[in-house]
Amino acid sequence: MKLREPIGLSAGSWYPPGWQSTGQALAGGELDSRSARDLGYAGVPVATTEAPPEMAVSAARAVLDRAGCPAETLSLVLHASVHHQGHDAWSAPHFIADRLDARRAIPIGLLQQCNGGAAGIDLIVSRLQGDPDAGPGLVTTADRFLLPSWDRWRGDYGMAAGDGATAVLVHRLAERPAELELHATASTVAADLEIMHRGNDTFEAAPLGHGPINVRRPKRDFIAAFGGERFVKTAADAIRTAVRQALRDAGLAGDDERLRYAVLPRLGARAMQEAYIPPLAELTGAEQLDLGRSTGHLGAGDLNASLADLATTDLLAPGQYALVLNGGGGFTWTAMVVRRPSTPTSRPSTPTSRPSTPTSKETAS
Amino acid sequence: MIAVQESLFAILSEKMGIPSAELRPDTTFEDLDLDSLALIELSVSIQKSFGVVVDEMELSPERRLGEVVAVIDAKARPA
Repeated sequence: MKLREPIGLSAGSWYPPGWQSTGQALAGGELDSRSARDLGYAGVPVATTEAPPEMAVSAARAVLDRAGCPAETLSLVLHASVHHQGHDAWSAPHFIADRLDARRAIPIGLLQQCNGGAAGIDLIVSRLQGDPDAGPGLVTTADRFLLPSWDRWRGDYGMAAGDGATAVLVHRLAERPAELELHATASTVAADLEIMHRGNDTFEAAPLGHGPINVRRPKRDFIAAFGGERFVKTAADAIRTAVRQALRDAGLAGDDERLRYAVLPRLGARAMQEAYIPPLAELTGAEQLDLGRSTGHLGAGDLNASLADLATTDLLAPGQYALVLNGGGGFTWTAMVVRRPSTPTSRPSTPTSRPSTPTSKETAS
Repeated sequence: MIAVQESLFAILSEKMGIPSAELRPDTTFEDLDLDSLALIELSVSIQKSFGVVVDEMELSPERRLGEVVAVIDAKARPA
């Protein structure tokens, strides 16, 4: 999407106090040693008492407070999630808007799988660009992945799921100081890959009609029918297109020294090494930043959690840029280019509840 | 066992594109350097060809092809 001018972002995340290390999962038989090695996580946050919409409210309150943004000025509250939010036939977005006192905001739920948080930012940017009177918008994401419905360690290939919430306030720069400036956002899609999460399963009349969520089953069906190469090639092309477009729209070359980081999704280390890093490294030599080793994959919130880490730490110096990459089942990929404002804003008084431990790797390109 | 080995090697060479010369009973999966999707693909192919499930996690880097042949043979043998 072409931005007429940069858009302001304030972002935060909220993690539950519970945390399960990979070692604990191994000792408990929830994971085998080879998978642990391939995933490369230190551990994941675990929310046994906090419901996802409650976590989203906690993340959002801190962000609105920091930004000095009265909730009643919000025009949209978009909530993206992947798994059960705690009630059936009920609107988690309305709950979040109500708890925040966002009385004039239209609450909308986003079910775009794991790229939903990024899609929410895109939608609010469109709203701000299309309606000069629209107030700022808020995107929240929140999920928890508990048995018996979701095995966080073995429910899917190439990732372990962590519990937590994110909130991103999307606003005009003229309204208030921004923690980050959004300079470009580019998304690509391959809707024909939705079958990877459906496989040969039939349509069911009730939730969990196929039993506990096991994404490995439909993915095996997909590979049996089409082979794994179809996904790898499609994903690589889509990632290249999104990254190339985002860099171009931001006016940055891949080797621009102002581009400090290329931030990775929060998937397992091997999956990222095989699917995300090769096309990314072709287009930019920026240092790759992996912020997910202590959070796991956060459902719809990976990209938004990385924005939160960039917004609430000194990873980016004033004037530096980061390209943040994400992907989600369906499939959709998004690349965003953000910049730390040159004029430093006041530092957050309420940082993320569990800052990620960044690990980075210099690319060879 | 010989038939199982021949079929497994045929999957690896014809579907996975691995040169036949590299396929020996003492070849390990580390030698073959298959990515994770290829290992799932191999697991799926084994299931289709032999009617048994050898989970991709069982196709660990240190595992030799001869050992996988034995696993398939044991699982496929009537109880």
